Amino acid sequence: MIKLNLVPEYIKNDQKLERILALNIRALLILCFGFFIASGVILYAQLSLQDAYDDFTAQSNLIADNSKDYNNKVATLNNRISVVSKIKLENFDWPAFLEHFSQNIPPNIIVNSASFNHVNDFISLSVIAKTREDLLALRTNLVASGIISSFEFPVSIMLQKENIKFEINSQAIFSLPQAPVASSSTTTTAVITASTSPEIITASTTIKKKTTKSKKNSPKNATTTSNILTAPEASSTNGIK
Amino acid sequence: MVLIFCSMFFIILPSTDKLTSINATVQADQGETENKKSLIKQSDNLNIGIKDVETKLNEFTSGFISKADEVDFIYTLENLGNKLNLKNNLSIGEKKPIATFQQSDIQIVLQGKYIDEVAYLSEIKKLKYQITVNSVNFTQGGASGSDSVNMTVFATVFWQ
Repeated sequence: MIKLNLVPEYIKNDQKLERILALNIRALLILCFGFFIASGVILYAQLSLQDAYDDFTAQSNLIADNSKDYNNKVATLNNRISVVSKIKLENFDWPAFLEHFSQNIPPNIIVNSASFNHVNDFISLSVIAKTREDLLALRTNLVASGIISSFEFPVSIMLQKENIKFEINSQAIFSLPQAPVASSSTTTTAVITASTSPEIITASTTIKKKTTKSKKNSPKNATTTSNILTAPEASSTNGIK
Repeated sequence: MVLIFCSMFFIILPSTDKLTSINATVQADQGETENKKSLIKQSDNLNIGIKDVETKLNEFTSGFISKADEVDFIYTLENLGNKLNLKNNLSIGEKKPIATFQQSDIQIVLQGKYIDEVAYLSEIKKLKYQITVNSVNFTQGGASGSDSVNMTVFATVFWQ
């Protein structure tokens, strides 16, 4: 086999160089392409990471700020709760207390005026007692019932025997009886009445018997007691002073 | 080559710098991040607790008078007095702020039978409105000899 080598050597070298150059250019292009791809990926990763980090920072800052709002919210809520608790505590069963109070007024005591202040725990009564014993019974009942802790009558009052006018201004305990009040001769009678007539006293005594039979402390009982006592068309002999 | 160098200087190097700095910041803030994560959990729990308490509070404060109920409140008290045959006279004081609510003093002067007045006190407890009775005064009412009693009720009402 004959091998022709007609191409001059310099052309061969040129061709060789051209091939090497083309290979280099191709490799460079591939490298460039890879480089750009890598750049793109890195840039994308950086931007995504930056975004995610910014989002997280913003969100956590927002939550941190919100936690300050929560503190305010909780403080406001606590304030509201304390107000509501106070209101609930101040709720008082007035009808039951008035019944309890009524039950501790002896029959021959006329209450001309009464003032009950639950805020200051103060009670003010203007009474007329038929006898000294009635007045003492009133004190005994009020103290025994726990409405008033204690009070003393002036000696001048104790010197009077009948129709004793007296005003009681005392700190009071606005609590309701824990146990039913035991029936006694000095308990269970009227509250406000403007009469000292014998009819009323008789009526009070009658009620005493009726109420001791019925259940104590029930609102119905309170109504009955007050109703009969205030119902009579009694003629007043003593007005409000 | 120019392009490669350009991308190297303007894209890759700044990006790697940035990534390095983010990494350093994340590492440095790791403790704080954990705190924030726990804060997020606590906030969620707190939010649930707050909603629960608010619901319960709203149940109670539903007895507080709203602006729309002002007239109804007055009518209710007046009608109650009329129903129990009591002459009634209402006066309401200025509203004073208390927490996020308002309160005002109310004075109810009633004239009638004692039994009806006690019934009035019972009935106002059953109303949808929260009325806190602070003090009660009784005096003889009407002409001498009548069974009429004046009852003055000093109370507090609440507005929302």
